Amino acid sequence: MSIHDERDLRARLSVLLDGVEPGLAPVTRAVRRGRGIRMRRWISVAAGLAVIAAGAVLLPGFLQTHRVTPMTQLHYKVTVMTLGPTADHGVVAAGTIGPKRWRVVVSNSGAGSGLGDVCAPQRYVLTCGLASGEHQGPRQASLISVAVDGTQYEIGTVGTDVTRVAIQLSNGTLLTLRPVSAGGFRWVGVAAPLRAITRAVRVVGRSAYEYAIPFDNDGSAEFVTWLRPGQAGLPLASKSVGSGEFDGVAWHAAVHTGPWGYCTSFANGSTCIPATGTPSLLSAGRIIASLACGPLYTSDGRATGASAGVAAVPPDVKDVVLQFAGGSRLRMAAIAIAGTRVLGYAIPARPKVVRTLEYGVHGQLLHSAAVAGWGC
Amino acid sequence: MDVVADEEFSDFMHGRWAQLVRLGYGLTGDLQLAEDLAQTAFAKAYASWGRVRRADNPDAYLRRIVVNANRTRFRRVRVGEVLTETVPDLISTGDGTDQRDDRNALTAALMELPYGQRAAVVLRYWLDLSETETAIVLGCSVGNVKSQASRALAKLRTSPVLLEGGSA
Repeated sequence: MSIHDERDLRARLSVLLDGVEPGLAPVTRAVRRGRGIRMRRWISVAAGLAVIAAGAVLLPGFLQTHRVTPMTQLHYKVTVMTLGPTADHGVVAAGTIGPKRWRVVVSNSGAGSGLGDVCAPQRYVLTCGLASGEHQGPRQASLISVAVDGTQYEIGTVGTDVTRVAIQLSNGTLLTLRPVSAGGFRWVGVAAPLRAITRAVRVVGRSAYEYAIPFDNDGSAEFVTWLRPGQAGLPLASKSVGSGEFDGVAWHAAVHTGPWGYCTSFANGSTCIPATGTPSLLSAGRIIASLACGPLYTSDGRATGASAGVAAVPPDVKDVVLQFAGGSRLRMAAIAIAGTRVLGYAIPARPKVVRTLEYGVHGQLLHSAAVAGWGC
Repeated sequence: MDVVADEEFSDFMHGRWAQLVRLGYGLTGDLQLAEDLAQTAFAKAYASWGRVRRADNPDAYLRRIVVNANRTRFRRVRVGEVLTETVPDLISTGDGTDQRDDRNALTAALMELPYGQRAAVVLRYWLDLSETETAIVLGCSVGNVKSQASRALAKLRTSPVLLEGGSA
């Protein structure tokens, strides 16, 4: 193929670009992001900081942007209050975002909050059930991310030897979170604008012990993998591992590797697996390991009759074919990323799969197995 | 925003989504990135919906956001960050190998062009924008559009990727 003149170029571009078939327009997500942009503008104006939207695309923090360039707002101020060693009225963290006070509260679900192991976020108050705490090893820490209306919270528990957790923000601020005891756990928590949190360091004694770079989950920082100083973690890569249409609903699955570990994003959101090297995603004897799976939703949030997910296969498998009870077949291509192979799929919610067939890079049949079911 | 305006925006986005994603694909060679860029553009359009709905040419507004958002991404890459270790995924629509090879070769050749030239090519020769309209989207002069498009065409004519990579 070669291009001789403008007419030739127009024709080639038309074949290339008109052949691109995007998924359905994600109106709900665009509206949500648009409202976030408006809110940030309002805050900036209220603070006397003239941020012009067209000029507000600022350099995001290092390693934070494996996908689209986020709107990272640097004109914010976050503070963290120093609380006592034990929670007062369940408050395990508090501070300010600009003029607004935020706080993180843990609540005993037995006392009637009914929260259990979940968190109920509001713009400036995050309330979590005590059961959301996890027992940690002496030097361990675990953070979960909760986002609401342009604010993200990180809340978690730390082991007995962890003296503090440092959180770095995209504007250079370093926040120190000191553990506060409640319900038998040592809690840390912080709130910040979406996309503001760029790094966490857990400190044992007086020394930084391990650090974590978050996965950007639609603006919310997901801390998954902790790295020792000098340890790089997985290489940065982002790949589409499957896309298509199921009963008129477009779907798309992707895998993102980096220092955060191994994260998948698909129709139903994102999920991450901690990994510092090539992840061992397959259990012994398994042919296919499900990494993420759930109902396929339409762009406006309605459930369909399909399941969508991402699965791992052995390194020598290039294609997987599902043979359904009715005789139809579905071929899925496995994509190599960070030393493993994964595939994305959308299939009926309760498929009657009778056989799986795995093919190698040269098209040879590697394995065939009768199965009772597949998917979620 | 009220319900009526939300419905207007929804119609607006549904009607333009595919074309904007295709524009993003022409600029990035990556479908997911293209969808992210398009989504960013619509989110910004929503944030300024009152202004956008009254604009003479809202499409130019959206295109400019996509082009600029991707330009910012390129600046970051050029100062040393490595975003991926592999080439972006190429589209596959399940037809003949030769056609797929042609498309992949053209995508690769486009990605080898400097960003300004690539944007000029996609806007001028795929969207069929005039030189003036292209200049508005790119935020440059008409003369600059002419030279960028001309250089791009010259490079594509002799691109080894196109000469060797696709079918004859």
